[in-house]
Amino acid sequence: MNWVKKKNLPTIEAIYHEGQPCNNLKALWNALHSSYNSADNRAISTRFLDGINQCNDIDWPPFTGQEFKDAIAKCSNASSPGPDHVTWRHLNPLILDKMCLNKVVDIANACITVGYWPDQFKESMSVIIPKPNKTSYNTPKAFRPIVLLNTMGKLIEKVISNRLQFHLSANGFLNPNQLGGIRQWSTIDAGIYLMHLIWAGWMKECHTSVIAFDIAQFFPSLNHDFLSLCLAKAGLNANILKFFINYHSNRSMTYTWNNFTSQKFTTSVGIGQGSAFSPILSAIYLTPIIKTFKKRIKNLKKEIHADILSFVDDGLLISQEKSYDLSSVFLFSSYNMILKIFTDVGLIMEHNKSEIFHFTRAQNPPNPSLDLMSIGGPVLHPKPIWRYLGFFFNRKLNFHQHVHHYATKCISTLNAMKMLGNSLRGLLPMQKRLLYRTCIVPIVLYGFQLWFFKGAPTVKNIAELKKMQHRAALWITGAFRMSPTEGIEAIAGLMPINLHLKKLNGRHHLRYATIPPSHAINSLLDIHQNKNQIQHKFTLASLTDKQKLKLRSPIKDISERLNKIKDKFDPFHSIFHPGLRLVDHFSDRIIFHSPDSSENEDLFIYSSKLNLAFEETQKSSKGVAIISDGSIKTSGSATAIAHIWRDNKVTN
Amino acid sequence: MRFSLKKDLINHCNINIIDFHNGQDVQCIINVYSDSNQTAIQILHDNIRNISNTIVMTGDFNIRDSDWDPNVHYHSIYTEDLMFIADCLDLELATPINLGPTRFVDNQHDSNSVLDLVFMNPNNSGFNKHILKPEIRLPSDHVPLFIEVSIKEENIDFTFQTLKKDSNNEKAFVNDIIKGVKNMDTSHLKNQEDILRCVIAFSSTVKDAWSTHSTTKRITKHSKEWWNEQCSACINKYHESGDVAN
Repeated sequence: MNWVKKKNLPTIEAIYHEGQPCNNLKALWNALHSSYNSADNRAISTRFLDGINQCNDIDWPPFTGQEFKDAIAKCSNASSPGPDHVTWRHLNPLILDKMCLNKVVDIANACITVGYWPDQFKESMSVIIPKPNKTSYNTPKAFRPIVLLNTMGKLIEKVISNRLQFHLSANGFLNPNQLGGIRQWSTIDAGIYLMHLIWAGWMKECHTSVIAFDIAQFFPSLNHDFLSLCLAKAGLNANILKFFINYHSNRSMTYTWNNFTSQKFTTSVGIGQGSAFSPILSAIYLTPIIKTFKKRIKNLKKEIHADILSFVDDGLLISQEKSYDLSSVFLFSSYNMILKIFTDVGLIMEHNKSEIFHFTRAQNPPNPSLDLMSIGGPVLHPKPIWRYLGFFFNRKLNFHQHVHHYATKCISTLNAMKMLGNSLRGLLPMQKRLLYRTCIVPIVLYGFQLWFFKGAPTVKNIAELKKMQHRAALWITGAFRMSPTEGIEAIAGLMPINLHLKKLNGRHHLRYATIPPSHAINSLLDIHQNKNQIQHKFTLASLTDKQKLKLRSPIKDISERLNKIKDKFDPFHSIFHPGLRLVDHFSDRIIFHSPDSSENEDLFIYSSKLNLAFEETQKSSKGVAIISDGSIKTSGSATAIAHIWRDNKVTN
Repeated sequence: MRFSLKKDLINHCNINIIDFHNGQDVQCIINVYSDSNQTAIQILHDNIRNISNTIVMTGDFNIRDSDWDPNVHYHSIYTEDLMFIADCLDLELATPINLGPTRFVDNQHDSNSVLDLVFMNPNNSGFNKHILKPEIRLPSDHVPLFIEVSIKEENIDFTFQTLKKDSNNEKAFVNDIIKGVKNMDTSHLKNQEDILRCVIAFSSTVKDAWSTHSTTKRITKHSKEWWNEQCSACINKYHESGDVAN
């Protein structure tokens, strides 16, 4: 078996483009270019942008070195280099060197003030990567073009996108109902949001119907003119707008297929997947669409109750009604509406990928189809299982199929891992345990927050996971097949799966204490309620006490947990403003000391280092040492303490 | 060079089209077995437009014709179709260096015949130079044909430039870049030209550093990217002692 083999593209099948096979390279490049650049010259309409509120102007102080240090710290050393062969590994020492860092910061600042992005940073190479699990690879759509850029340009892009992420969430431009491409928003959030709506709907005897839709070739068809208008609406100042207009102009693309490289093609639409801007820019592009949709729904004479949720190019329309007829009508009209808006901005919806699904608890419930013929779509028939964002939903929300899918996947991974060693040779049990905990547990527990909460039916799911962990424990310890699960789990050092879930769930709840006020989950919670936000029909606060008592939903658990937390967090406080933080201004005066590992030897070295550093600060009259520590008592309450030392005295 | 069987062009058990790339172009080889009904000839005739850049077409065509077989005194009706196909592919019938029958019969009634043909482009240096080797046909009734085909004279580059992880070259590469960046003047960047000048200086530094410090490597099947010197030392130690602990 070859571990590091390069993935070659399929050779037997030729790519078909417009019904003709591409037999030579020239035809192949043309096929690729015309399908990834298909949105070229697509007409767009920008009139509805007038209805979107202009956001507050964004304060843009000059870049500081610390921002670059933070950005490069998150970069993977294994990622592919751009055309100039420089990887993050090579750039790291450059950024650590103070003189070089200042020069890089100078260039970045000049780019923003002049509003110019040099062509050297635009030089890019598009690598064609097959999308996984396709039955046939004979169309260009089965592949994903990934753009490789020069690392230096990418670093500056990262710093800028970091600021955009902060500011656009802080000034409220981004809509709470879009969950992709934005920091602090995850698929789990989208899942929990949907779960709560369904469970709360059941409390009020409403069933939930959803339509999932997909946008064809999302990233390559984003229109630059429309994007510039969106950026202006988001409150970016003239210099930065000029920078982005320049950033998108004069783009060219080179395609790479196996070892062959094409000539340059000029591109006029789209954002390269691989550039640091692609998540945030796609989110900015979607914001006015969702805002307009919500506004149009509100302005209709007849009221339509429909909710929208979007995760990058996967959208979801939700309707919660008592009768299926009503929800079908609502879904149809909202689908039609969103279709029109997408066509206006040059995006194409793939009708044949749209799916409909009804959630209900009733016995023998009806399962009506939805006819989209009149707007050019097919008739949507609900399937028994619906896959969305990697979650497998069934109609009663017991997640048996979801857990079964992931548990089976992990059992087959475990079977494959058996080749790495047995009880005689190969990996040691410690290493096997590490492998299990890092490579299998996170996969098998994906999305457990959706089905693991108080009052949910979890017995069958946990039994399935237990079976999986039993197999893993057998592999780690090399024990006999009939050994009792609890015993070998203890020997292998694994926590029983239900306790593990409980632990993870508790930590997950705490995360919601730090989310921004405009987060979608916050709009459902009864505390932390943002006054300006439109109240959802099924928030916790909207339920009666009796319904609340009966309700089973992850949001209820989160709300109970958050009620016990007294500390307040504000992620958009001005001291977190990138470029204006304390570390940005005084990065050379602040030194952090933290231990490398918790082994005794390292700790000893660390403490002697700390002593030296402490004495040094106390000798000089300007030095200050801040010592902090935190601990959790056995009773469960956590405490933290900090001392400020100056001239060998505690000053605070 | 990667060979692939192109089933998408013609999917038939009697016709194999194999194509390969030589750096720039895609070229293909066509192998034909035409049965007594000449179905392969018909299929080729119908689909000839899909195929391009053929360097050689060869196989058992099962056509007896006076053009290539001196023992036969008639023209076959299929010869015209075959010649049309060859014309479309820009190929011509090649004659072997040692003329002779390519199919030997095992009974006394029939005579040996020429059925296996080679079509090539007359500009190809291998044209008219194929050899029949009846001595090595063994129990087969067909004679093997030996063709030497010159594929466009071009060097297929299977070497690439690389920089080994944690090597001295890599350190020198990084040091060169750092030195180059330190020499850049970024104090007064007022307009596009200033920025462009700076960025060009940076990219040329990188390019120079890359060309001086990268090493040329051949791509082989056995490239192990994760293997480093530490691993070699470890495996040597293990081979010497045979101890699992090592």
